[in-house]
Amino acid sequence: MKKVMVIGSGGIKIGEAAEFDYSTSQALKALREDDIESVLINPNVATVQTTKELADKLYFAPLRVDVVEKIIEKERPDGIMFGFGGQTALTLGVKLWKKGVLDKYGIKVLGTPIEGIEKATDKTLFSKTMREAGIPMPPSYPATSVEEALEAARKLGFPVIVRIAFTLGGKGSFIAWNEEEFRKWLIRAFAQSDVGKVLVEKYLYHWKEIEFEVVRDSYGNSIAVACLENLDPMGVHTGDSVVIAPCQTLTNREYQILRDASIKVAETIGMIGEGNVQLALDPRGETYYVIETNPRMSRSSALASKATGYPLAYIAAKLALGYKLWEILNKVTGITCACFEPSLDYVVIKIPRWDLDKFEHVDKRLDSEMKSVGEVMAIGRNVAEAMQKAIRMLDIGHKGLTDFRKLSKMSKEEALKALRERLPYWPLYAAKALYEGAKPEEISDAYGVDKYFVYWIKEVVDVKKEIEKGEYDYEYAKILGFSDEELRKDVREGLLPKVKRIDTLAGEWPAKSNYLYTTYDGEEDDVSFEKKHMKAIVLGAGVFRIGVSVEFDWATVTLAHSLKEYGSKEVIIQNYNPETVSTDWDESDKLYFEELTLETVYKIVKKERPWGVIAFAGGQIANRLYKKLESLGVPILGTSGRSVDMAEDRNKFSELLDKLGIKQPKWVSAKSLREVKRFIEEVGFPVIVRPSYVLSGAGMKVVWNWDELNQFLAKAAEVSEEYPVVVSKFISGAREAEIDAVSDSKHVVAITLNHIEPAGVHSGDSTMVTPFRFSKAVEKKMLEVAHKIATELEIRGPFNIQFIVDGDDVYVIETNLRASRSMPFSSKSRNVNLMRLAAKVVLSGSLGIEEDIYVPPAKVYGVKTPQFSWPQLKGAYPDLGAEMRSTGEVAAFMKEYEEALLLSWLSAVPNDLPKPDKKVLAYTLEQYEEDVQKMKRAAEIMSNLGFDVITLQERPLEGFESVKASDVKEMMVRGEIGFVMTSGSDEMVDYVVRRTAADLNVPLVLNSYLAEELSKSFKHLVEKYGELSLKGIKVQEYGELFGS
Amino acid sequence: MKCRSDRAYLILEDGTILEGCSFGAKTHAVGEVVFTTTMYGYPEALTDPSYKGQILVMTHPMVGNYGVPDPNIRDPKSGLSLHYESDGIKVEAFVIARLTRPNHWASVKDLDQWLKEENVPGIYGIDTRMLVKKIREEGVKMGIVYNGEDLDEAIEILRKSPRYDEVDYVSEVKPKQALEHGEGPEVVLLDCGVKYGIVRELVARGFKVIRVPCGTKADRYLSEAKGVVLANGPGNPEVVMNRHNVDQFIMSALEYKLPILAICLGHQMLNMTLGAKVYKMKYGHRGVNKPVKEIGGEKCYIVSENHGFAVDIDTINREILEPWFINPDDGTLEGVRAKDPPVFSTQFHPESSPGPNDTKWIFDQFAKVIA
Repeated sequence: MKKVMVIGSGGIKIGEAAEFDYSTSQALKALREDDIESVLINPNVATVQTTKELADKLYFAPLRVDVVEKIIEKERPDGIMFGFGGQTALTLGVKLWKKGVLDKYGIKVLGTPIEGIEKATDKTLFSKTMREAGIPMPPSYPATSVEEALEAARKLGFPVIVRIAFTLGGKGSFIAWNEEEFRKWLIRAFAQSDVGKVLVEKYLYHWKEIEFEVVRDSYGNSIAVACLENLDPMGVHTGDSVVIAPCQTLTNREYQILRDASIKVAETIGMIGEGNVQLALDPRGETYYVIETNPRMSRSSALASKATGYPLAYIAAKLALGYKLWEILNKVTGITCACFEPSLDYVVIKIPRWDLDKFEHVDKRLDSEMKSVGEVMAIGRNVAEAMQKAIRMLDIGHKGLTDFRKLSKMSKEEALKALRERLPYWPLYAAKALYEGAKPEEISDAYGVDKYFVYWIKEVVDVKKEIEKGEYDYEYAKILGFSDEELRKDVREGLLPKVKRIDTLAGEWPAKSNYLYTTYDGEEDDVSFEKKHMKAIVLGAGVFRIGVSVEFDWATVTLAHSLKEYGSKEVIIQNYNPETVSTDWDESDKLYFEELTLETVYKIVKKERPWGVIAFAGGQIANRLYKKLESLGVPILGTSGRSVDMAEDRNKFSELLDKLGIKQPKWVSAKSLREVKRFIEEVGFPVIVRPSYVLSGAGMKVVWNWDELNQFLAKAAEVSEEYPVVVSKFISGAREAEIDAVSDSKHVVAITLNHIEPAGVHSGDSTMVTPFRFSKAVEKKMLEVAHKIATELEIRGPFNIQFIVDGDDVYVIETNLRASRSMPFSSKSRNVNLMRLAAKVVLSGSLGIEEDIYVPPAKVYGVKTPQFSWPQLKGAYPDLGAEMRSTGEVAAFMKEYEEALLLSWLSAVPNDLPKPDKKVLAYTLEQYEEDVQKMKRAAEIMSNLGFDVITLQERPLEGFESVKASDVKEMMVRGEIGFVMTSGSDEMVDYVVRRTAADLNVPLVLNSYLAEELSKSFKHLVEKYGELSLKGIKVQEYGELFGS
Repeated sequence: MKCRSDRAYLILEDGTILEGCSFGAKTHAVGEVVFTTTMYGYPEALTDPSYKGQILVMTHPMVGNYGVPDPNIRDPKSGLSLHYESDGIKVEAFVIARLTRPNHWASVKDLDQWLKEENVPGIYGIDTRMLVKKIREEGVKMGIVYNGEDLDEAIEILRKSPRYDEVDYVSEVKPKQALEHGEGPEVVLLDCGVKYGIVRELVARGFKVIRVPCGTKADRYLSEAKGVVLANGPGNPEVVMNRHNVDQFIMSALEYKLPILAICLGHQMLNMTLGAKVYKMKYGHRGVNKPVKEIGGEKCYIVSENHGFAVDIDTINREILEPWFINPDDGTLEGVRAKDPPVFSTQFHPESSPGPNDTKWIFDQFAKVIA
């Protein structure tokens, strides 16, 4: 094996997130260790893996068979790994194999063979394979008539779940507890099935869900690295479940029964490397079923890696290369072998993070489809300590399990109802119900969580009551995970925690790693703390959510590496997100897998006594701590907390802009409705409204008239002295642009970016282009503004400024003195690294340039496209607005703008080139001229390219055949529409059109500016290569593009 | 305050005093302080006769989660309890970080109550990781779990107690007379404190297991036997060999050319009988996550272990035996074998209980050579 291709997972979407940055990065490291040349394909520009240091060859390209085949043809790898890039990579791998591409070029599949992957992923084949191997699967029977279904239900015994064959989104599916219910719903179920077929399956109500992570080499040596116990019962997706490791409630017998079954599953499919097996266990006995397996690295395996310290992805890569398990060293101890099963002398709890409030109409109840967008992992020496940490880590405004400020009015019955409905963050409702007098049985009956865990929550609730009475023991409260803030203790006087090491072997062997956590349930530190020259603590990004994702992990990791490179003696990373590269213990000298709260950061600083803390890499959470840390006397590296505060505080920043003569849109912070009205009367509609306290739904909205304003404020926000509303003038049709930069307080290195979508679309949901395509004059003004702000605020580190561009006027709308979402993209588009420059500034105080402003030259066009998760957000209305909705991003770099745009857009799923035999639907809900004209031009270009363009009857575009929304839906279901271009937002008009497109994976363009640019790119393709396909496009390797 | 119950102490022979919280019986107990890294299976561990004379520390910080399984849940073939390794708690005392409130369908009581009933003291609220690191660095130590405030008394009791290595614990755990389980060809098992798990595995493979107390003269049983099992047990193997004439029993078994399955102490005694030396390990192997590598093969297994002594690999009788398994981490000999007569001898526990079932095929192989 000399050259190996590794397939990444593409843009982050719900269900496929940053965990694959971790796994692919480790695979690349394993390849490098063996002197194997690696070729990585992944359009996810925000990742660590796509920094040029990790892979030998790097392609930002869509993960499509046609494109990947071309890269294969060029690179001729000996082997291919697709077990590290999630389901995306696995599916692509199977397609490449089926198409004969792998055979044609003689490429060996490294890891689990394709036959095994098919056995594992094809539901029918999996079930058949497992039954043949004697592995129990949940019993089920197909039925084509009411009688047959009844017979099946009787055989299985109630409750049963009825699934409908071939419908969308599980429609018509139901659970029946008795024959009466069963008969009642069955008729409807049959009506929903196009083929008149249902599946009656045993409903594993409130069964335990257990996962095992299995590692297996090509000699059949197998180990179960971790047992993960879902606190949520069967029926809640593991990605949406609270998970604990190691398993807590299993007897030895139960543990072994499930472990044996997991290893047998791995053997049966011939797994090589790493995989996950999910099982259901009856909480009243030893009956179990295998539910499914993932023959690849998964979210669970990333969690298991971080939970145990066992580097699963690295080991899996080595095994894929043919190593035997016992030949590989356990890098944590440095002396023992990788053939062992980690023993944990601590417990980890994972809690998912949801962002469903950002979406209208989305069904919030947890079920078998994953809805969360991030997760946290907390480590402690008991369940309560870990769970309370995890609640704080979620960053949803709860100081702990029993911080009931947001649930103050909730009764016991309401809390139990929330549990029965399976609303997100159930531990909070469990705690509340217990607090209001519920018995532990009631909690477990309502939610299906094992009473063992409820008892722990009860213990926390009991102590909470003591705290309220003022009769509590501080030390015991700390052991149970209460924060000093909740105990009303000044952190400077609070108890310091002990620092413990994660070593995979529960202390049995001395470990080399510095993978650390803190606990109050212990008496001894595992490590010593030395004051060292230039010892720095870098704060990570914490939990991912919409708007904060892997890009901040890129910033954290890159910064940590660069600090080392520029002479830092010790770099410590503090972060708690199990999906990340930064929480790999070999990325820094010390890793604190810990909360990013003032208390924890302060206390670690007190123990470590670093030269300083850097909070500018991790995004919002870290940035928020700046000023508070500074006021506690913690040394801050980079821009001062005072300056950060100046930029964050609307009033102070506005004054500063006025002082510097920099334009800004008019705004007001209104404390009453009267003030809101007075402001609008002065500036006129449209305006953007940003409440500081959101009741429900979106937190920010552009409103065009009084009706909309009143509606929004009545439904979504409170306006008061305590919760003012910021209202600012919105310039319709204006454009947006940004600057990503680094400053040393005198000089600035800057990269300018323009958005394709106009102002009003959140910058995170906009398509970004660099080099700048608005006028030179505008660019010049933006750069001047950046320099003025940088010198005035004495910025020493990274910053980002967002601008509104109206003609040749530029207005500043926001400045953040930290890494930005777009920084990995802007950095990679110029083959520079802004975080590396920031490290240089931190350590040397200077960028080392003469000019006031230096703009790294552009050799290619870079375009960044948002990745949405509309199909996963069941019921949500796909639209763009002031709130960010995308979950990830992808990019492409090409010599020509049109091709960069096209490849970038095609890199987001389910985007695809329009098919010649399918219709294009074009319409806009926007009223303003510019938007309508753009959609019209887009439609005309598509029509000229030979597409049959139709429009929506409710909002027709002039000159095209119009069809009403309900008929459009039918056409889409029949597969007649292959491309949808729309703009604006009005769910009353076209909910059914957009939702159906999302459910059916029909490419959906949600803005007319983008529609026009895309249609021009299609035209470019046809004109240049003679057809609307990617055949002619030459995808270049990243190093090649930049001539390095 | 670390907990909500009375104070208790763990005092080590080097003078270390750890303060914790009392559970189980309000009494004191002296023993060799050892740790296991298994994260589950505390009922099996507590009832494992090999722990006699020892104070057991669990590294996993939460213990008692699934309570105490009903002893009436039995293996129908052998009649032995499924979650137990003997008729009661065998450890001298139990040291953990957090005692938890249990929930499990099989549970009939909680850990605290069980220890009280069996008059065994427990202590929780201990930084078990700190303790384990100390044992790892300095080796196992004698210690006392003490309920009360008179620490001088506690230290005096500890000082006066015999050392673990000198005591014959087998006499305390071996059966009073021979016992029988199962139906089928007869296998004679030398019982120096056998774990139920070994008996269950043999019975499951269609044997009648005759448990003869350690020290029994062999001939009475061996003439009818189809195989011999040398099982596990507590204490220093030198002491066991000397007090119970085990070498005579083993020599007879070899003379009868009977297939032999030897486990843990049995493995040590078999090797000693054939001239090998054993040595005391610094802190032993106790856990369910240990690798053993098949010598000369490609296979590596995860096994259950509980031993503080090991056979010196350089001293084994290579005329009869060949090394079979080795611990890849520290090179400890983990098994020997022979073809004629067939000998399967492991330092680890193929019956697991607690632990993985990955080496139960050794029982299958033993069964095969008998059949």
